[in-house]
Amino acid sequence: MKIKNHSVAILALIVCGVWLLYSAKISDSTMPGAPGPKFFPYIIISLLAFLTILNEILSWRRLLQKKKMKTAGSVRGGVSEQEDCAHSPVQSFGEEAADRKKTFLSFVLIFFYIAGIDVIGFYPAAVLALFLALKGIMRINWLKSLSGTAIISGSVFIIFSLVFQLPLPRGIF
Amino acid sequence: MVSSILHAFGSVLTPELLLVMLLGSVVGIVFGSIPGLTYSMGIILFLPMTFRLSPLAAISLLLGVYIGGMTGGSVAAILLGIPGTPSAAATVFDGYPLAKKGLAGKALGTALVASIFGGLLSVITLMIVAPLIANFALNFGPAEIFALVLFGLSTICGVSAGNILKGLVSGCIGLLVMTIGLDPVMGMPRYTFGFSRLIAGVDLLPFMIGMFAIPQIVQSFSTTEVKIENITSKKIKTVYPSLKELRRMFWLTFRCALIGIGIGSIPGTGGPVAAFLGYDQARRTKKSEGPALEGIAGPEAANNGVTGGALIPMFTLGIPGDAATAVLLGALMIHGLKPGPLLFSQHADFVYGVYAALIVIHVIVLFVQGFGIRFFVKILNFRKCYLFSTILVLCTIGAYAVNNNVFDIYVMFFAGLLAFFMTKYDYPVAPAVLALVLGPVMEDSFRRALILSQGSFNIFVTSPISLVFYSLTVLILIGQIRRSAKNAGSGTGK
Repeated sequence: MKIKNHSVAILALIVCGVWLLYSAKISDSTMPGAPGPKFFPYIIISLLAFLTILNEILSWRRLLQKKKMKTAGSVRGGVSEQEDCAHSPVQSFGEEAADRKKTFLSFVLIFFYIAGIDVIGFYPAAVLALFLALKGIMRINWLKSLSGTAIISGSVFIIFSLVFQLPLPRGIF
Repeated sequence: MVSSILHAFGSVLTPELLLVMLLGSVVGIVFGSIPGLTYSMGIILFLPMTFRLSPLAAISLLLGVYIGGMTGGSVAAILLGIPGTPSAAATVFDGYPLAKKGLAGKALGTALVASIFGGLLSVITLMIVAPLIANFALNFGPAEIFALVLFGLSTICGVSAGNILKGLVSGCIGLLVMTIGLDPVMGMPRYTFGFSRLIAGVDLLPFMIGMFAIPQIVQSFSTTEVKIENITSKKIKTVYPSLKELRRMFWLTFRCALIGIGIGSIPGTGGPVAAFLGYDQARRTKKSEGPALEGIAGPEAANNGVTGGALIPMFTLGIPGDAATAVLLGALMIHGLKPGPLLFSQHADFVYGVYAALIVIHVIVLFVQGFGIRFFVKILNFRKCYLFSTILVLCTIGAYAVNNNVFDIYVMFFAGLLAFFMTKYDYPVAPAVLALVLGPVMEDSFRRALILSQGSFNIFVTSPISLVFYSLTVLILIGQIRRSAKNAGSGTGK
């Protein structure tokens, strides 16, 4: 079983550790009879850690059972593990890698778009992000990317800045 | 009550409110029609636009999105064979084969009429039942509220998409996020990690936008768009069922609407369960084995019955039944209204206004979807790359507009990142959102109850109301665990 399949569990346990660490910094002062501000977080941290570990134990047990069944199946029916895998409807490695790269690029783009809002202002950042998303990530041709960017940002400007008069970040310039 | 509702119609039938209800309905139908877009996402995206509106106008717009979305789900289900919303999944069984036979218009008309009938019946039920529950809930103290919220949190099992343990982990993550900021009793700052902006806590709206929208946006950016074989290129026109057909389907639709209302009022069950039960009723009623209009009317009446049913616990007890009502609950709080029994005594005008708005919205949806079907069919062919690029920009505006602060956009981003990894590894997102909404109330009522009892935990088990809620919580947990084990046994569980 690959370690990446446990990333949420690992992350949840790290979060529990961080929360526990920061709990020590919270003051204990409270009203008579009532538990302090740490009480509720402690319950949640314990519950999260317990459920995460339980989930992991159960998934390992399921995996072991599956392996046992596969071994028994291959002995009885002569179906090898490779054959079984060959029939599974998974994406090809190339496609999967391309999608993973695009996913990573999408997150990077969104992060820099948000950072850009603070620096160059909302509209320039939005125009740049839209164009890069359409042309760079989704591989749409130049003309369609440019016109799509213009139409979307123009419509947003008309609705939010002209009609709703919503004050949007202008950046540092 | 009748005179109050009639008076409320006067305040709802104004050009401003009619316009926002029309806008909400159109947006809802669009979001419901397009597979991949959910009406929960529609409600979140349009919430920031309601900040300058009156609370009634704001909620009317969002209810328009909710009802329009639930009704619009049938368009894609019938024309593409792909449900626009999970609640429309059962409509595909008979709707798509009928459309392929050339009866798309009739199928769409039947779905629309059944949806509106189910929805209106659920609104009438809401009007009758809600004041009774609210009146009863006025007797609740902090211990009863704690028990009630615990019951509400048990719905996490229902929205856990088959994996209760992962749903509970997701709920705990939501509860942990909720602990960031000032603690509700002493006002001590907790888990701010050195960011002064976190002293006020994590704002609900940017977090929800991130959780619901960002994973969808990233997914649409990173996957190749596939052209789906559909029949939308043909000219489609809504054809309403004849009087004879309506008479034939009346009792089935009525029964399914009641099922939907009942299911909807139980937190954590929701539209898909109701729709499949509705389809099961239809299957028993129809005379032939092949696709029939009954197979559309049943599930559609049931899933729209859920709308009014789900609003009962939300308005009367402040307990959201699913992701959409959790967002609606958040919207009410953002507009300074606290859902619960006091809403009915302190803001009676608002509540009656909502009743009137719900009825008007159903009429608007009937006309808009009926006459505008060609427009919605065209939208099905709209390229998703442009749609999700627009949604990305709308999300950032929505997150920013809450406090006019860029920090909230970062909160949205990190919530999105968290939701993306949770979805990737089969951890449902809805429980985290439910926990985020209900968590603060739970902690506050728990600690207040202990202050009242001067530290005695007996306060939680002495009230019969609390005991009823604890029993219901245990029953729901046992039921869901059994269902999950059964699914796992039959190989359908995750």
